[in-house]
Amino acid sequence: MSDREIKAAGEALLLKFATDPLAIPRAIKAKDFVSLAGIADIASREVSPSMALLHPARFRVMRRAISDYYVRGYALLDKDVLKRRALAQIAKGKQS
Amino acid sequence: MSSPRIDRKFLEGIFTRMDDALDADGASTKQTLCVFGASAVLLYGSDTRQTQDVDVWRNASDINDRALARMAKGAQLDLNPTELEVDKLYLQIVTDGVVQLPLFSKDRNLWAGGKPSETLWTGKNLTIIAPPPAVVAAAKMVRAEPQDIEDVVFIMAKKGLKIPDIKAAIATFPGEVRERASENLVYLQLVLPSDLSGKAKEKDVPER
Repeated sequence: MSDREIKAAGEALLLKFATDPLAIPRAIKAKDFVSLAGIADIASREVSPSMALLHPARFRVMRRAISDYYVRGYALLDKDVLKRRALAQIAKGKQS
Repeated sequence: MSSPRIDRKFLEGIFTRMDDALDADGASTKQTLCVFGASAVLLYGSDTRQTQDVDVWRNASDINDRALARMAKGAQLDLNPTELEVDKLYLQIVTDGVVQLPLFSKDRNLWAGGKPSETLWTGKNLTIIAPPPAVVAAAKMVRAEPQDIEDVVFIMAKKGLKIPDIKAAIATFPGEVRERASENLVYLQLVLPSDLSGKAKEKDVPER
C-alpha cells in the first residue's frame, strides 16, 4: 500500500512539475518526502513503454518532465533516503 | 504583455553589447563586474533558468559609474531602476544592505575563506566574474525560496559541491544571515545522500 501511495504521489508531482518548474523545490521545502520519493523513483526508471500506447499524451509529458528533472540537477536527490523518510512519514500519518 | 526574460544566450549577448559600448568611444577602460544570483547560475550553464535582471555586487567589482552608464545604455538596460517596468531588463548594482555577502579583498582577489572569484565571461574590456560557487549557493540559502533551492541543487550538481562546502562558505557570511542560511540547509540535507549531505548515514530516519 505504501509503495502505491509513493508511486501515485510521485506521478502527481511529476505531472505538476511538467507545468510548474518549482513544484519540486516546493516539495523539498514542505518536506513532502512521499512525493519526492515517488518522483525520484520514477525518474530512475524508464516510463513504461506500454504507457506510450495506452496514454500517449501522458507518456510524452512524463518523459519530458523526467528529462527536465535531470537537466535541473535533481539526480542528486537520493531515492533510498527519500523512501525511508516517506515510509516514516506515511507511518506517522497513519498513527495520528 | 509578458516580461522579457534573460536566458544564458541572451545574457552573453548583453555582455557583448556592454563590452562593445566600452569600446565605442575609444576611451575604453577595463571593467570587471561581479555577478551573483541568477546571472551566475545562468553562466554556470543552466539551460532552464531565466531572470529579468543582472545583479552586480559592487564590493567585488572594478567599475566606474561613467562606464557603467555607458554599458547599460549600450545594452539597452535600465540601470538601478527605482521602479520596475515589466517589459524592461535591468542592471542592479548591489552593495551591503538587504543582500549580504562575505568580505572580499580586491588586492588579493580573495573572498573571506580564501577562495578567488571565478571568471565566467571575458570580452575585450569587460570581464564578468562571480563569487566562488559555494558562496553563490550559500547566499541563496539565506532566503531559501523554492527558486533558490532549485538554483542550489543545480549549482551542487554542476559544480560538484557538497553541503560541507556550502556550510564552510556560510561560515564566512556576516553573523545575522549566517544562522538563517545554516538552518535552511536542512531542507537539502534531508533529501541528499550522506556523501553529499555531510550527515552520517542514518539507519532509520527520525523526522525533524
